[in-house]
Amino acid sequence: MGRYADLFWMLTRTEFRLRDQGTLGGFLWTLLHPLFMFLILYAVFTRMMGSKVENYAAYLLIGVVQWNFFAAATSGGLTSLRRKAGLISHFRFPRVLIVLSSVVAILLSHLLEWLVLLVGLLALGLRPGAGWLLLPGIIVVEAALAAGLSCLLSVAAVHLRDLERAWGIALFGLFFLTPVFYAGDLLGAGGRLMLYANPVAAVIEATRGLLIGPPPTSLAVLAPAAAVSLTLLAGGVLAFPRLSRGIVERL
Amino acid sequence: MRAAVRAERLCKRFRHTLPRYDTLVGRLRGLDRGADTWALADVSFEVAAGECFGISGPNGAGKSTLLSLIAGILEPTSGRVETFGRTNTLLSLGHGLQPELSVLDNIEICGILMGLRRREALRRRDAILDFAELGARAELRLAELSTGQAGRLAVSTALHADLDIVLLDETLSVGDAAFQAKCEAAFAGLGGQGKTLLAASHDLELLRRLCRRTLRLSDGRGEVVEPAPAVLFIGNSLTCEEKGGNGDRRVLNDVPGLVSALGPGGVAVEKVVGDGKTLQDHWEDGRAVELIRSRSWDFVVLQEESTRPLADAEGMARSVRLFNDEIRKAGARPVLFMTWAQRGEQADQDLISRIYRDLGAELGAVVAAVGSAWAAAIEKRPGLDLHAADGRHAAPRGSYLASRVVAAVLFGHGGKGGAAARLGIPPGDVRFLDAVAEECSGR
Repeated sequence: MGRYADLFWMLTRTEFRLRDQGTLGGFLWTLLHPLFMFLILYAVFTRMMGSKVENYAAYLLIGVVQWNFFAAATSGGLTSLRRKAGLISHFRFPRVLIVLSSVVAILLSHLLEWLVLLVGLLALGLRPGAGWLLLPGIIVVEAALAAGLSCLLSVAAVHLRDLERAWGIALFGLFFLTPVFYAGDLLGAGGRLMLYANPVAAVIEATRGLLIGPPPTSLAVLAPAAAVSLTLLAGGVLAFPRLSRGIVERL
Repeated sequence: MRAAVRAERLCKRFRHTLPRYDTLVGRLRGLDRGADTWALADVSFEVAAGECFGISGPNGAGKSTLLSLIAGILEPTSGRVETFGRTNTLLSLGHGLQPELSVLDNIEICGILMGLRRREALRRRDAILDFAELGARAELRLAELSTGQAGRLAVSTALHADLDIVLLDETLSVGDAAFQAKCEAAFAGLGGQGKTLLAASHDLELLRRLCRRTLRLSDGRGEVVEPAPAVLFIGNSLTCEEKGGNGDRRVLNDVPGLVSALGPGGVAVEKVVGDGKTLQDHWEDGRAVELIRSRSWDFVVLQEESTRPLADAEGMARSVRLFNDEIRKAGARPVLFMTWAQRGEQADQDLISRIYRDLGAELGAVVAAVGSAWAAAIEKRPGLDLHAADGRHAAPRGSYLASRVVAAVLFGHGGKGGAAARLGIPPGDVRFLDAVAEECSGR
């Protein structure tokens, strides 16, 4: 077990360093993407949404950071097995570690983003309340969702080489089906349904509820998303040895 | 003989796919998937712990596939492969290293992947760098290194990672001559630590130097090729006693001849013996060393003059060490022929045995415990005449027992009948001596 812990941490660190060159400058680059996205969306939509949503800047910032994590973690997870083909075909070890370490490496940047985000939210006038204490739980759900999905996507991507493209398009569509820059209730009854069917939307909405308000509804939204995410992760990890049989030949 | 790798009716089929099949679009269009290849079709073999085992064959013969199956990276289509000991790595070119990270980081990564704890990998990093001779380049990105240098890094890490079974896929050929020689010495040393090496290569010369047995693969089928072993005996009349002159030459106590008869077919034996000669005499004489270097021996059996362990153990150890170095350099394995005590001097046997065993342990050499076997036989059947009339040399039963113990150590099995009949030993005694020999050769 200890050996696999060392292996997992090593894979995660390697992944993290390869992406950001392990430097502060590298991290700033990863920060630039959500920041840019935020500025553009804010400039375009603040007039339309500003009156409908309380503290639109904070609302948008939370959505952008969380959406970005979901998109980056699943895209990275999807290609993880392929990117590590060399390791897989030369060493025997639990291959799920590759997928998980890919997601956790992105989670590490995401945690740093959260730090910056929290400072930003304070600057935007939010005051910490009891709801903020649930933030670690939210992050666990985010990570579980991304990791669980990545388990499935990574194996599928080995068998279907163009899945990476397809997932890129799917993410583009999903971005508009998730209330990142608009308010969920704009869509009416369909919008509420979507919140329950789309765990990413549920997580983002719940986070906004906890940080901006009002909290009670947000927990009701979060519970099913948390259940789905944790089940997906547990199932993905447990089934991974079976799912990944025969992938070495396909890499 | 403990097995390290055992393959039974191993088959591996690759289901090929044409380039566009592995895509969403390809599946939807129902593209043809292409043909199958049986990379391995019914391959069975066993490798003993401590053995250097070669795998040869042309490109595409299934060498890498076989090694990947042994490492547990691929799964067999049918049949099975068992490994006894730690192995999880296939060492080959284009090894799973990270070109963008430094040499130091890659050693750490590689060590952990080979199963070391991080702490251990970091602790051994300098030794690995040293062996790979890359100390001056430790901080460089791996991508800056040449292919050969990167290959050296992987091999060096594997040698320091406590793998019980090392799987080499054509890795050595990239190292330069000096590094190759160093690796060959290191691999030859693995056997002494009970570690096993499986080396795949189409460099037959390299395999011949490194391995005694080779699995020859072609079209997915395998055949183990085993050259007849060659054994050189160095000793005196306790190894072989020649009496008489030109017209009337008789060979008494012919252990080399009996060992050859007991071993698998075609064993080549050669001997350098002389009445009363010590190993020091042989060393100074020079002929023994000349013979050791003259061809590739599998084993060189060293028998010291029988009173020397008692009279001058230090001198004996010096001679054995000198011979040991020479034998190892020639790529053979030394075997120490433990002599027996003289009749009525059984008390000496403990000391003689201990001296041989200590030397064996020190040098990683096998001890053929002939003396212990004699002592055991004499204790069980005091009436059985192992000693010749002079009380020092061997009578036929003694020769047979000695040969039986040596053969068991060399070939790992009891040997064939017939040899004893030649000496005129009755079957009952043969069974008894066989049992004693089995017991004393640790089988």
